[in-house]
Amino acid sequence: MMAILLILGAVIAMQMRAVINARLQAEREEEEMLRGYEQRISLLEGEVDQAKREVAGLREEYSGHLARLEEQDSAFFHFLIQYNKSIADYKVAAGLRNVSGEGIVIKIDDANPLSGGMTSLLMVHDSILSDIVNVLRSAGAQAISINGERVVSMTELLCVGPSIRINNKKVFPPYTIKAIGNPAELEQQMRDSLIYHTIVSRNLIFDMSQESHVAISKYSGKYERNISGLLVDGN
Amino acid sequence: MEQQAAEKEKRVRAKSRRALIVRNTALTVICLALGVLIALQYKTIQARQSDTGSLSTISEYQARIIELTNELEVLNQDKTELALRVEQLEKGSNQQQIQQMEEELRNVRTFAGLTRVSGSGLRITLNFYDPDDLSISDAKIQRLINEIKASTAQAISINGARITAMSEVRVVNNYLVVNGRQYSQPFEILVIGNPTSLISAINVQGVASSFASVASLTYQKEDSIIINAFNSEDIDTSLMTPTD
Repeated sequence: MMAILLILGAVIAMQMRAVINARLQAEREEEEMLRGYEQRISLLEGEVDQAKREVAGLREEYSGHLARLEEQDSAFFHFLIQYNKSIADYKVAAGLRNVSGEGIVIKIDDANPLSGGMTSLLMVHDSILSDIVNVLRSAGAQAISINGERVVSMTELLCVGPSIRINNKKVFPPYTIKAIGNPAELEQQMRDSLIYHTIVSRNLIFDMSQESHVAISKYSGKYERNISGLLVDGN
Repeated sequence: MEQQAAEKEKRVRAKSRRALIVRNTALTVICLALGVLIALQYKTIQARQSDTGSLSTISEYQARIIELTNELEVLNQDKTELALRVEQLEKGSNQQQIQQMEEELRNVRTFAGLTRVSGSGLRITLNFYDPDDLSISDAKIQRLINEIKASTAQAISINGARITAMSEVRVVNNYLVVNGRQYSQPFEILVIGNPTSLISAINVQGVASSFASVASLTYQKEDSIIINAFNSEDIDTSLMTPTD
């Protein structure tokens, strides 16, 4: 009897220690990881602030030059302004400027694993995003982005493991798809689409809302690279 | 003698009663400790599971890092562009500046798909065995287009329709719909890009073979593929306000 109690006591003590150690260890690891991320974020925030200041400085310098040009060579100044305006307008069409307007915001994520079914069917695949983007285009969307990546003419949507490759970048779920266009039309066509029914039937996490102000960032890659070597003939 | 025996029995009984109390107490203590332990263990497991709670902070952090990296990338491009403009205004002759602006305008229009372009690439032809059952191949067609874009494609057209950022490519009622117009087969996809990379993208990823049972897919490498411009008047930007 005593022996059994002793062994039990020892086992209990060991188990206790293991449990406490495991908890402490897990907490330590998590804290370390979070601290790493925080450091990285504050470093990046610093760099972004610095770059913003530099851009603002250059803008000032540029408008100073323009003001001088206006005084010295008014004709060329107006020609230059006109040309730059034309470039800026085409950049809107090309996806090379930040834009905002009314539209819809769609959020989609993998289904809750407890909802059952095949795991592959519970995931948001490239084909689902591709279908959504195509429906939005059909519904007259003027600009689309997925997790901040602007959809431009050669934007690819391809599964890479758990992520999706967009503009040569890996993007992870949950996915936020923003579209500028007629909000009612965009939502209606989404609800009428085949892909919407697939999403609902697979219990994927899905949310769609019409918004009066949707902000979409410009293409973040180097666009000149996409067209280098292309021969332009005529217009 | 009898009294002595009775007393002894009493003592024995008391002893065994005490032993019983000790045993019961010990058992109670053990059970209590065990209970506490089980509760602790359970809590640890629960804490592990609710780590998904801090997992969401982790994914929030990761999302923030990606967001900041993109922002930095864009700002650096703005910097380069502005620096170039300042330099042009400081040093360039009017003629040089006009040249530089012309080039930028042409580049932007080309990126948007608004210029006629040429270069080496592929001519891909798709002929479906059953054109009335095109809808089952919608996903395959989209995959093909996405693989081509992910490879080295710089310009694409489908039956003459130039693919822009807002061009839908989807099967509706057994027609292929591109830029709001219906097309029936044969489907000819023109791509400008590195032909070798394009061919391997189509083959290595198992895209071409996915068509084997439903269509004949052929492709031809060409030195001079010409792809028409998208009409700039058909690009609607009326609902967008630039914010930069």
